[in-house]
Amino acid sequence: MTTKQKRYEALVQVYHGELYRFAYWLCQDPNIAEDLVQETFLRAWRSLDSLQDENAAKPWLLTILRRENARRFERKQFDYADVDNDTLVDNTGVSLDDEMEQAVIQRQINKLSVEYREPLLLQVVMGCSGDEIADILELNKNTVMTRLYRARNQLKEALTERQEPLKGAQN
Amino acid sequence: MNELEFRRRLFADPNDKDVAQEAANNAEQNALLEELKAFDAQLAKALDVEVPAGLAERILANQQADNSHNNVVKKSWFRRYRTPFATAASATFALGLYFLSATQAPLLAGDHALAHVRHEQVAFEGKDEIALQTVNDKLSLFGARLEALPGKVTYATFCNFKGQKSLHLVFQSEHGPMTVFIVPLSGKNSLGGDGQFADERYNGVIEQDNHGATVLVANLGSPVVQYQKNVSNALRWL
Repeated sequence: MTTKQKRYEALVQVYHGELYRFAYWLCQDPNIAEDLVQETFLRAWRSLDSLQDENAAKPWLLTILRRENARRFERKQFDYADVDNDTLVDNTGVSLDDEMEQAVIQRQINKLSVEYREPLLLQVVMGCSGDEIADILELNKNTVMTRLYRARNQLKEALTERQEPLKGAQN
Repeated sequence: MNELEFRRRLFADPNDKDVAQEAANNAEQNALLEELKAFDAQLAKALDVEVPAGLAERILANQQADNSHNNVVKKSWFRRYRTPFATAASATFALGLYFLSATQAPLLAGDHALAHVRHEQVAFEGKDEIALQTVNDKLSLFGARLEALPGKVTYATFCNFKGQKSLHLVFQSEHGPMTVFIVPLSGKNSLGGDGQFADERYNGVIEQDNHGATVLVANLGSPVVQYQKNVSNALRWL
């Protein structure tokens, strides 16, 4: 096996899971997410020689994926975000309450506008630092930190409001 | 760090080290820090959707396919031009035939077959064997199939036969390469001219029924009727 092939396989093994989750929450559709990840890695393979530093692999892959996602919108003008996307994930072995709670959180994450959702995904799913997020999104760091603050703030508020009805009727 | 800034930085990144240091001496801030950390753990759990099984394998298979696709192109330089030249020759030939048939009295199918064979010599240059399945894939467009091949087929290309799309086959026999045209016909257009024909180099035979015609051309003196029978016996119109 060539060195290039080995490098590539290592990248796929390390990053495919995180990239899939990021893509899933970015486009809110499991099939599109898989296509995006496939396309991202194919492009990564074709231009692997341009990746000099292995430490830069994560932001590099994320940049490719975001570009692919943007292309999708150039091609199709459907607004996927409008689709009522109550993604219920199969969390086997989780109690009903936990499952319910997760579904509620997931729904609220989907409701966040993409400008707040994206930096939050980069931070929580991809483990990127504020500086890395700023580079990937081509924003200054202050803007990124403000969006992260607002994203959590909105989520917390929305989830606090939801608390009462979740518990059901109380006598 | 004032209260507002503490809150902003904590919400932006619950793992911020400065924020943790600030909270160390303040019970209220510390409680908020713990609350946010717990909230982030919940978030991380909710975001942790299952990755489809076999995704990594599919990505690698996709890359391998991409790779081998790019490798196929590595032909020697002169080979790369063979297909375009053959196509161009075929197109020129078809155009020539069109003008010939448009300007002259209707050509007999036998003469047409001979002219076609004489002009498309490239058909005899193929060396690689073409599988029955490949030939049948092409024939399926006419709604026909061959039960068996008459010999080792080395050429199978769609051609225009008297304005009719046909399959041009070359197979190897004891008597040298033989050419077969399989021409689908719908009742109203017949090829005209039946039976045997010859010139100074080749001889051939045409047989047609309601579905189509089989035209066989071989080197002069070959038992064309016998070979033609082999082909038409193996041919099925669906």
